[in-house]
Amino acid sequence: MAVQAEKKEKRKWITPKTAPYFFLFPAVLLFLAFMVYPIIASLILSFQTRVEGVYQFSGLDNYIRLFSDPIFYKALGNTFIILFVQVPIMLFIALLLAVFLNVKFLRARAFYRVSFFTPAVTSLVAASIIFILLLNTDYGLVNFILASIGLEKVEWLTNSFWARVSLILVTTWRWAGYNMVILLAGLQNIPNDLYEAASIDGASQIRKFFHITIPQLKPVLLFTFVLSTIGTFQLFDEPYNLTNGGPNNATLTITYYLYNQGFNYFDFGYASAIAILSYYLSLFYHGYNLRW
Amino acid sequence: MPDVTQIENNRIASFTEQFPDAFTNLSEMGYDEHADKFPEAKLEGLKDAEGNIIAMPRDLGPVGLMYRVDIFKEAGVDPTSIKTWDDYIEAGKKVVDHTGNYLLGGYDDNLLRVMMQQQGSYYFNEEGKLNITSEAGQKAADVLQRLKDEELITFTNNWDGHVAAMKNGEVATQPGAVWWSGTMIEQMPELSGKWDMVPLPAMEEGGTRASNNGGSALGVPSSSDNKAAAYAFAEFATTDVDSQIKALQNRGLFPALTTAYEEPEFSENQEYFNNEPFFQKFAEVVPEIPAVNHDGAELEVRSIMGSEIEAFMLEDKPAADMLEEGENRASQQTSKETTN
Repeated sequence: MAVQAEKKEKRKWITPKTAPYFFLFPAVLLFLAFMVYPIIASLILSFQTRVEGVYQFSGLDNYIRLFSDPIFYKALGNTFIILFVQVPIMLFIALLLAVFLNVKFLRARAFYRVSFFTPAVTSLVAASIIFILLLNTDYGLVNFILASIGLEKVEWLTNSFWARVSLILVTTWRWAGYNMVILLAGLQNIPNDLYEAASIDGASQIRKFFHITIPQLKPVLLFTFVLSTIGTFQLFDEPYNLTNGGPNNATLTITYYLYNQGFNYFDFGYASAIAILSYYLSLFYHGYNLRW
Repeated sequence: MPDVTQIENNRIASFTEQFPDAFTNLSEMGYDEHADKFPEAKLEGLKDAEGNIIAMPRDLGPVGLMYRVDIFKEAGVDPTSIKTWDDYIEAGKKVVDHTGNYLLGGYDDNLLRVMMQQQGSYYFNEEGKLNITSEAGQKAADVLQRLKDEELITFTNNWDGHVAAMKNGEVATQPGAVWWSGTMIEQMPELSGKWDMVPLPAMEEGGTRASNNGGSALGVPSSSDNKAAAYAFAEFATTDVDSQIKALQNRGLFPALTTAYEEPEFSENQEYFNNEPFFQKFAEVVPEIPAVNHDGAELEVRSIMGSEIEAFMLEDKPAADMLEEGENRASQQTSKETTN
């Protein structure tokens, strides 16, 4: 097209100077249409409410309602519980797995790596059905095992506390392997000389881990931390499939609440307000954590 | 968009409130001529603010008390003696003494709504104001509280858990809508002959023994390009007696079309249901079902009350507080006024 136009009109639209803009154009167009426009639209929507099918500006109504909405605070609290409990546990497990799978003398390393990564590519809907069966209070395998070693049955999905524990378990199961792969790549970038030098100085394995591995891995750890935090603010599939946000909203997350407001009750104005607020929360949380 | 959509009854208001012109005015296309073929309570819920029909009645969810014939027999309880919820609780104690299991299961606000509608009341009054803590609501909550205090009701967690509890004989009754029969026949074939139905217990001696839960209707989206064809199809699907009977026999979809109740298939004895005319028994209570207002905020309020029920069942929140706090929350969430 561009070449034809050039031949016909004999005018030089495309010069080495302008060419990059032509190359960028499709990407910028898509970015504008699918990123910038929706973000602006949802910002505008968050100041509107629908009255008899027509959107009308309602000022800060949606935000005022949000700040006095106990269910939103509950969802926010649940999200932060996962943020403060699940993310550190998961990253710690991911780090341990990565270090373990990076050990030179380990056999069948590829097998373990694939095994631990598998949950990340599994359909969560299918996995959730299995978890629901495993965690069923009366007929589940987990409680069967607990009962057979003389422990009490646990109400994994019907007790507020244990439902949160189940959600944390399943989320960790799903994402630990994913973070492990990223950390593993980071581990393999640490120059061997550092370990060699440390060995010559007589440092123990544990000392090497804390004084070489972790400091060297810091940028990668930070990256997995940011990814996991964003993931937590967007957590939806897991509670949706596993607990439906229950019991009594104990596993309701911000994104799940947003989904309910938008797609169950068609209150897109309020849903947008939730989205905008959770975006800023996530932004400030990262800003605070990344200042060092 | 499709040319014909099947919509759950109690969701229609939430669509029409947000999208007032979403559905074609079917009265204008002549559907009023069929109006007298359907129960009034059903048709009322399918009209817009001006009284035009916007969806064609497809099926109903008349509610009855389904019970396990074998368990009641062994426990020595006569199900026909259950006339009120008090009788139900007394009978339940005997049944549970005998089985060591439960009388019924629950995981959502269905039974609360059923008992409120039975008294001609609902989460909303006719003007759409929140009416959860009404006298009817309190009476219903009181029944739930007593069922819980006597340890007659078990929390079944979700649909699957509820079906499992019925299948495993963990519960001896199911106060529920007729469409449960489809699930029962399909998923619990081994219980054939062991279930039957008596009308829903009344709140007081001589009170209404009918209520509704669910049911659907066919609407024609106003965006449809083939309205005439869509209308003709939906008209056929809702007023043709044979199709209603087939859906009833295969899926337990109970027709809204009252003329279908006179078909011989309706009064036939059902092998699965203790060789009794199961569908006939439901048809008999249909005229008594009180009409109530399903407001646009229905789904939101139901979700709030669902959470409250969970707090009641799992966290021992008193049933009276459940209504009170549920109504406050609902009012705060939907910015609706309350009646008190």
